[in-house]
Order: sequence, then C-alpha cells, then structure tokens
Amino acid sequence: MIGSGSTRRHSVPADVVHPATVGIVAVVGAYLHTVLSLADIVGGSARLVGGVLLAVVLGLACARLLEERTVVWITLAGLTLALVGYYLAVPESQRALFSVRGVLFDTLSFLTGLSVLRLAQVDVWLFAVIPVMTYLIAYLTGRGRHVLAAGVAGGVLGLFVLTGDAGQPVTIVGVMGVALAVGAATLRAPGGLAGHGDTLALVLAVMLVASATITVIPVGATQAWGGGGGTPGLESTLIDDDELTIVGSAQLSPEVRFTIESDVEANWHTGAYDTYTGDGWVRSGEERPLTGALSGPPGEAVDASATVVPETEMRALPAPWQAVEVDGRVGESVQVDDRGTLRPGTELLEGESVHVESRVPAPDPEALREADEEYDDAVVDRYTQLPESTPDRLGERTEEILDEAGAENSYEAAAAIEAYLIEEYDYSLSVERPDGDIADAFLFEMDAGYCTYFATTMVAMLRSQGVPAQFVTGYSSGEQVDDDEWVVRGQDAHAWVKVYFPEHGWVSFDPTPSDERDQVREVRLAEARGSGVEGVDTERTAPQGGTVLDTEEVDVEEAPEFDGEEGGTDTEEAVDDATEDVDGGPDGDGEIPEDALEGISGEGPTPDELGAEEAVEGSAAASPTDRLPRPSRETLGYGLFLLVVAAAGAHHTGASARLRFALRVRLPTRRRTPAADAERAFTDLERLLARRYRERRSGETPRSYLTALRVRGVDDRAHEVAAVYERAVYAGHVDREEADEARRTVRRLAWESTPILRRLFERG
Amino acid sequence: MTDPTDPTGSANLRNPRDPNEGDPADLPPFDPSEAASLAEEVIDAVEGVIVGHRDAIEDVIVTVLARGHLLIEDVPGVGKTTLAKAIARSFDASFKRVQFTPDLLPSDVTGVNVFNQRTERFDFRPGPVFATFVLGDEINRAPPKTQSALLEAMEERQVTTDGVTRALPDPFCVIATQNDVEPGQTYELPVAELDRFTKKIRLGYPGTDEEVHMLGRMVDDHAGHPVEALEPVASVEDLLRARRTVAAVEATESLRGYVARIASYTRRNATLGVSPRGSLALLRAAQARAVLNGRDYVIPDDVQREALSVLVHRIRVESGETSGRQVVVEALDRVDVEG
Repeated sequence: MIGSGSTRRHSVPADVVHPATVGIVAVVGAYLHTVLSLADIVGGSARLVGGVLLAVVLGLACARLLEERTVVWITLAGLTLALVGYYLAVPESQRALFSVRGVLFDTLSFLTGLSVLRLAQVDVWLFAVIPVMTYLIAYLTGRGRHVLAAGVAGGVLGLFVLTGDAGQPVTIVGVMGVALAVGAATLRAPGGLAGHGDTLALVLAVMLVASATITVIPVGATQAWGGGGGTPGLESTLIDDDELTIVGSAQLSPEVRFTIESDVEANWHTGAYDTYTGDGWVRSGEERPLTGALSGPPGEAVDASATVVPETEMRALPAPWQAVEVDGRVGESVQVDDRGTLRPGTELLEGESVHVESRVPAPDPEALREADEEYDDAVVDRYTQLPESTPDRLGERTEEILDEAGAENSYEAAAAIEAYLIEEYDYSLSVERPDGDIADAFLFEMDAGYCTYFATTMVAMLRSQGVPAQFVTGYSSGEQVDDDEWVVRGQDAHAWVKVYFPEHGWVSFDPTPSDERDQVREVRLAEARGSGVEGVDTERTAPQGGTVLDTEEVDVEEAPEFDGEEGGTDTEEAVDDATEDVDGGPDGDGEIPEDALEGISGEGPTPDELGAEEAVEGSAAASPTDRLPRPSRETLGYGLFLLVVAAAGAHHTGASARLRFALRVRLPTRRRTPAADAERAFTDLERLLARRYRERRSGETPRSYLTALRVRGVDDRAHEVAAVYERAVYAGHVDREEADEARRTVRRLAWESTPILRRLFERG
Repeated sequence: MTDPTDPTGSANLRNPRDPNEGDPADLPPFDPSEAASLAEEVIDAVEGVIVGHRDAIEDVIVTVLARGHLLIEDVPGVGKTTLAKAIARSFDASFKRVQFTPDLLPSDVTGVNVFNQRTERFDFRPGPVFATFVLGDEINRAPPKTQSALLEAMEERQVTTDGVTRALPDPFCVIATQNDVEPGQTYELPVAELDRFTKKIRLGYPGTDEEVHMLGRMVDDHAGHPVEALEPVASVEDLLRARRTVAAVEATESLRGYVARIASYTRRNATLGVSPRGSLALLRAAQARAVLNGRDYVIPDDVQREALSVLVHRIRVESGETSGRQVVVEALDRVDVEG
C-alpha cells in the first residue's frame, strides 16, 4: 500500500473534501480538546495550538509532495526527536529515574487510568508529541487514507481515554468520528453513500443515543462505589490517591482507622499534591525507593518518633510531617515522592505496628516573616501552577484581602488568607459541587464547604500571588486517649495547606474552621455510638457511662444529608426551612429526628442523598411513610443497559420472537379486518404445527400440508382454520364470525399444545 | 374419413347454430354447488359406461367446462371413443368422429360445397367438425395441412369454405387422440398446435378388477354397447350455464400470482416454457376444477391438480435433460404457494 500514492496525486483535493474527513476532524477535535484542557492546567496552550496548526498545514502540504514511505520515516524521526527533547527538558534529578522497567511500568499505569498530568513536565510532553501525530493524521487525510488517519487519531484519543483524561462526551464524539470516517470511507464507491448513508446515520444515531443515556461504569475511579449510596465518604476522597477529584457532599465514617503514639500532636500527614486541575488535584513526578533516612526540613526542627497501629488495612502511612525514616517490614519497601512524602510500598496490615521517625519543623513565626523570598525556579514552576482558565478575579480578590490585612510577606499573606477563610465561611459536608474552577466558585459563590474546599481555595489564592503552596491530605490528630496516644477515625480525614519558605521548608496552615468541624465530628460519633455501630471505639476510647443521644442537641444545620442538592449557596436557608417544618409540623417531632439519625449514621443500607431529601419533603407534605429507597440514576441506567443487552441478545437468538409468538398465539389480541385475522390465525397455526411436526414446504398448499399431517394427529379443527384462511385469501371474502372462530380455534390448539396446561383442555 | 354409420352423430346432425342465437346472455349461471352436482351426475352416468377411469372423466368434464379441447395420448382400444361418445350422450349433444389417415383432406374435416342440380346452386355439406363433440382419432396420422384445418377450427370456432365463414356449434369441444405406438408412420404435432389443447391426458389400461367387471358387462349385454343405452342427464343449455359458472369463479390476485410464478418457473427451467396461453388454460382449468369441487373460488390445490395435464405437453426440454413432466413437478414443489 505504501508507495502507491504517486498514482493518486491528482485526486488529493477530492480526498480532503470527503464526508470521512468530517469524522477525522471530529476525532482530532476530540483529542485536541482533551490536550488543550490539559495544557490549560499546566500551561503552554498557545504554543501547543500554534504547533498543531503548523502540523496540519505541513501535513496537507506533504500530502501533495511526499511519498507515504517518506512521511512514515519523517513521523518516526519527529517522534524520536520529540521524546529526546522531552527527556532533556525533565529536570536532571528526575532523569535518573528513567529506566526500561520504570518506563514500562509507568506506561502500564497510565494506560490503566493515571492522568498524564502525573508526568513531569506534561506541557513539554504534549508539545512534543501532539503536533507530530497531528501532522501524520493531516498527511493521511490529504492522501485519502481516511481509515488509516481515523485509526491514528483514534489511537491518540484512545491514549487519553485510557489515562482517564478524556471525558465521556469527548470519548463519544471521538468514537462517533471514527465510525463516521470509517463508514464514509467504506461507502466511497459510487452511489455507496446514497445507498447506505441512511444506515450509517442510523448506526451513528444509535451510538450517540445509547452512549448518552447509558452509563456502563456507574462511578468514576476516584469516587467510592457503595458506602453511602450517592454520597462518598470524605476519607475516600482524600486519602492516598494520585489523583483527587473534588466531589460534592461527603459523609463521615466514625470507624477507627488507626491509633498513633507520637511525641507530638499534629495533623497526621499522608500525602501532598502539586498540580491543580480546576476540579481536583494530581500528584506529578516519580517515586523512588527510600535509601537511608531523609534529611528532613532545612530549618529548625525537632525529632519525633511515632508508632502507628492500623485497625484496618491501610495504603497510606500517617505520620507527623516530615517522616524521614520507617522501620521494619514497611520500611523495606517504602517509597519517597517528589514532595518528600513517604509512602508504603505495601499495605499496612491490621494490628501491625509501624515505627516512623519524623523531623517536625518548628519555625518561629518571626523567622518566617523575615524569611528570604528568593525561591528556586523549579519550586516556583511547580507550586505556583494554576490552570490558565483560572479567572482573574481570584487574584484580585486575594490582593484586596491581603491589602486589608496589610500583609507584606508570604507568611503574613498565608496567615491573612487562613484567617479570612476561617472567618467568612461555614463548615458543611453537604455541598453541591460547583461547575468550573472550585477555588473560584468557593470564594465567590459558596458560603460553606469542608476541608477540601477550604484548602483548595487557599492554595489557589496563595499561588495567584506567587507564593508556592501545596495541597496536603491526611488525618487530624483525632481523639486523645493518653498523653502521647491518639485514636484516629475515618471522619478525621482532613486536607490542609503547606506553604514553602526557603530555608525553612514546607510549613502547614489550616484554613478550615476547626470548631465547627469538631462539632460535626462529635455529633457523628455520638450518633454512631448511640446506634451501636461496631468499630467505632477501641478499648481506650469507650465513653464512660452509656452515651444517650440527646436529639435536641443535634443541630440540624450540621446534619450533612439534610439539605441534599438544594445548592451550595442557599444551604442554610434550605436547612432552616426544613427545621421550621420539623418544628411546626404536627407529626414532625416524632419522625424527623429518626430520619436525621438514619441519614447521618451512614452505616449499612443508608438512604442516599435523594432519599434523605425526600424525607424532608415527605415530612412537609405530612406523608412520612412514603419513603421507599430510590435506586440511583446510575443504577437505573445500568439496569436499562442490561435490559437492552438482554433484549438484543434474546432478539438475536430468536428467544424474544418465540416468546412474543407464544403469547400472541394464546391470548386474544386486537382484531383487524376479518381477512387479516383469518390469515393471522392460519399463520399462527402453521407456526404451531411447524414447531410440533414440520414446516410447510414451499410448494405445499395449506390443504396438502394439513392432509399430510393428518396421519400425525392434526384434526379437523385445523382444516377448518385452513378453510377460513382459503376463503380469506382466495375467495376474497370471509365473515367476521368465521375469522373470530378461526382465531379462537388456534388459541385453543395452542393451549392444548402447552406442556402442562394441556390437561385442562383434554377432552374426556 | 367421417363415420356416417354413427347413429348418434346423424341423429344430432342439425343445422349449425348461429353462435349468437341461444348463446346465452340470457342463460343464468348455476350456483357452484348446482354445477358441481350436475357434473357429478354426468360423471356418474359416464362411469356407468366406462369402468375405471373416473379421473379421466373428470379431466374431460374440466376441459369441457373450461371451454377447451382435450388430447388423449394412448394406445388403441382403451375406450377413447367410448368416453367421448358417452360424454356427448350425457349432454344430449351432437357427436362426430373423424378418423385421421394420411390421405385425409382438410375438406373431409370441414365440409364441402356440393352442386345441387335441382336448385342449380352449391349446397354446403358440413363436415364432421360441425358437432358439439368431435372426436379426432389418431390425429397424428394425417398430414400437417389436415391437422391444421382441425386445429384452426378449434381455435377460431369457425370454418371458412370457399370464402364463406360458418360458425361452429357452441359449445364446441374437440377430443383428439394420438397413439405413440407407430412413430414411423405419424406426423408429430408441432408444439404451437399442441398448445391449443387445454389438456393432454393418458387413459391407461383399466385395473384387473375393473377389466373383469367391464368384460362381464359387455358379455352379458345383448342389447349392444351400454353407451347406446345412456340417457342424457343434462342438456346443452345446462352445459352452457355451467360454463358461465366456471367463468365467474373467483381467482384472486394471490392465486393469479401463483399461476404466473409456475409459468415463469417453467420458462426459466426449460428450453421452451409455458406460454401465456398455457397459463390462461391452467387458470381456466383450475376454475373448472373449483366448480367440480363446489367452490366459487380457486385455491392453489386446484391449480396443482390441473398443472400436470395442462402444462406438460407445452414444454420442450433439450433431449437428455429432464422431461417436461419433471419440470412441472419441480415447479409445483418449489414455487411458493403464497407470494
């Protein structure tokens, strides 16, 4: 095939103007959309657009000038060059990490859902690879090799689909583009499109409708499936994932996760994130095995040792920042990432005791105020990153706040933003996840949120002012059971902020209002205890005397499930309304607190958000009994999908046709004209007999068929049906009564041939 | 040679009828059931004379009702003449027999003008073709010219002598026989002429029992051949009315399609397939068969019943291939009854 191009050089323009090109453009558009939204996060989108445009022009030009073999070599050379360039662009410290095994392993991880954002210097990688591939696609399109072009474009898009960067709509557009391109190219024969264009259109329409209405994979990878129905646990959204997607409402799990014995009380750090995507966080860069102890923070720090005893299996290693060394089994496989976080290579087992040495920075605020603000370029690059689409008003508002507070350096800026967020915003676990940039939305449109929102917003605000900051996850200290011992539960999962100070390292700030947060957690724990949930307490934490839950103290405002999807901005109002209803309603007092408990407890089959919302509405409508748990939309969609697949399968195997016939032939159905009914009666009879004896042969008349079957037990009633049919078809007239009688006869014959019911009809 | 000794023939020799006179705009058709029972009576009567050929008798009746002509191909002495004569007598209709020989002239069939010295004018002396039932015996022994004189009369239902055209009686039905025992001394009928016979049947020998029965009757009876004693059970008018019944029989589009598909199948699978005249003949025969069964509509079974005797003689196949009969059998086997 390659090299046959010279003969078609004349037809190049015609090849570009072809329906298949539309499909290819759709696929290219789909992956470019993905690539540009990535470039928006990491920067360099203008450069990328330029490169792609140049590639398209070059590709189309080459289509007229160069042989295919040549272009394949050019593409390979270009790709090699691009990858070499990328390798050189990666900081030297990271280059050491490239190894054949490592690259293979990374490729595998990317293809199973890790975002390409985890690559170091993604912007360089994108700029290197994407234009080369686009050049090849443009060339192939210009050459009229539409199927091949669609294949290459589909491959590029497929890479982003596998890494999870391409969303569902983009994937649908891409798949339809490939289908359109391949279909249109296949129907290239004269009259092909005219003849089969409708089929192609139908196929595309079905693809679109099916994929738009059916969700095969009900939840995203970062959202826990199950747990509280529609509401993920806060912990599962925070702890130990390389990509963190900010979600809406979250719930608290009161189960004990680990106990920790530590010299210092701190937030137990498990991980940090550098890349902000606008709706979540990604850890970029490689991990390497820990060899020897880390040096710890550069500034003044105190040594601390901690012993973690997990109560359940854990993938993260909670410890005071900064952990520098791990003993024992876990220590052998522990990895350290770019941000100096220690991460266990294996799971921590239940009851296993893990000893961690940490160096905890203890900077003096005065020293921080005085700190040098000459940052390292690499640090600035990485930790002041914001998506290009971040609205300017975020930075402007931040500036106003800093001016008002009179902040003059990084430390004061951080302190001012922290104070502002604590002061101005309420703590609530039930929020509607906003569209667009989370930080911007939280700052301007929401008035309540939980730690993820506070920390994300603070990092974004600091970065807008050029202050390097990162988003940190872990657990807050938990319940103190001894001087140096804490019990930490799932509900203690937390997110906060670390700010970089040269010579001092990363210093923690926590913009989340801690009083309100503590309150919510206490209520949650008390209820869990009240309803006898297991795993909530260790021997050390069991409350003295039975805790009697006083429902009066349950502040409805903080019951996370109550306001459901009422929206983030008017959460309070909605809850207030609900509270009023509860108080004022005639039978509200008895019902609602129970519902509240149920909603809060989050154990076992908890009614999901929708259910809880309905409960509130139900009480307002004074019909609290009508509260069946509704399946989620995803479940319904998935069920529908299974149904369609089952129906299609049944159709394919003919089972549905048999069932339909079996029903139709036995039940009275709508009457049509007598002739049509008579014909149907005989057709049904024929099918009955065909199944039982044999089919009517092509040259066999109804009569000869029945006569032939007579010896095998077909009786006169069948002949009567046939006679009516003959009259209908060959005499051109048949009575209503005759037709009805024929159909009755056939129904009766059908019932008589039904295996078990047959006995009812046996005569004598 | 005509057979002037035939008493039945001379008794019924009347003036040829004008086709319009007594033709039957005024004769009402029978109900199908009436027509069926009438046909049944005729068949019973004829069967009383000819033992063991009920199917053949039905075939003759069908041909007559379908306004067609019949060709019987068989060996001599199996009762062809008796059959024709018996049918004619049952309807109280005129009957003539022509024995075709190599020296038979066309005028021997159609009739001649003879000069009448008393009136000094030429009088037309009608040939044997002027009868309701004409038996053309061993038609393949006469030269083609004579054959064609008869065949033209069959098709046109009129005869032209010396410039004068005379209509033949209505109904008019030729029952021709040909034997296949001495092929060296025969002029085979061309396909175009065979096509004019609605049906071609074989009588075949009677079964042994039937033959014993027949022999017994013939030996015992001193009053002559039983056919002489046959009393008419229907009139020519009855026959005309029954024909009208047949013509009115419903043949729906579905059924016509079936007939057409059969014809088309033979055209695709034989050197010479069935002509449109052939498919029309098949449809008419099927209509007659429907009436015989008391129905006023044709069903595919009627078509299948008639197909062999109506179609086979119209089909030519290359020698060595399948026979025309096989082609028709295949057609019935493979052509879908419903479109």
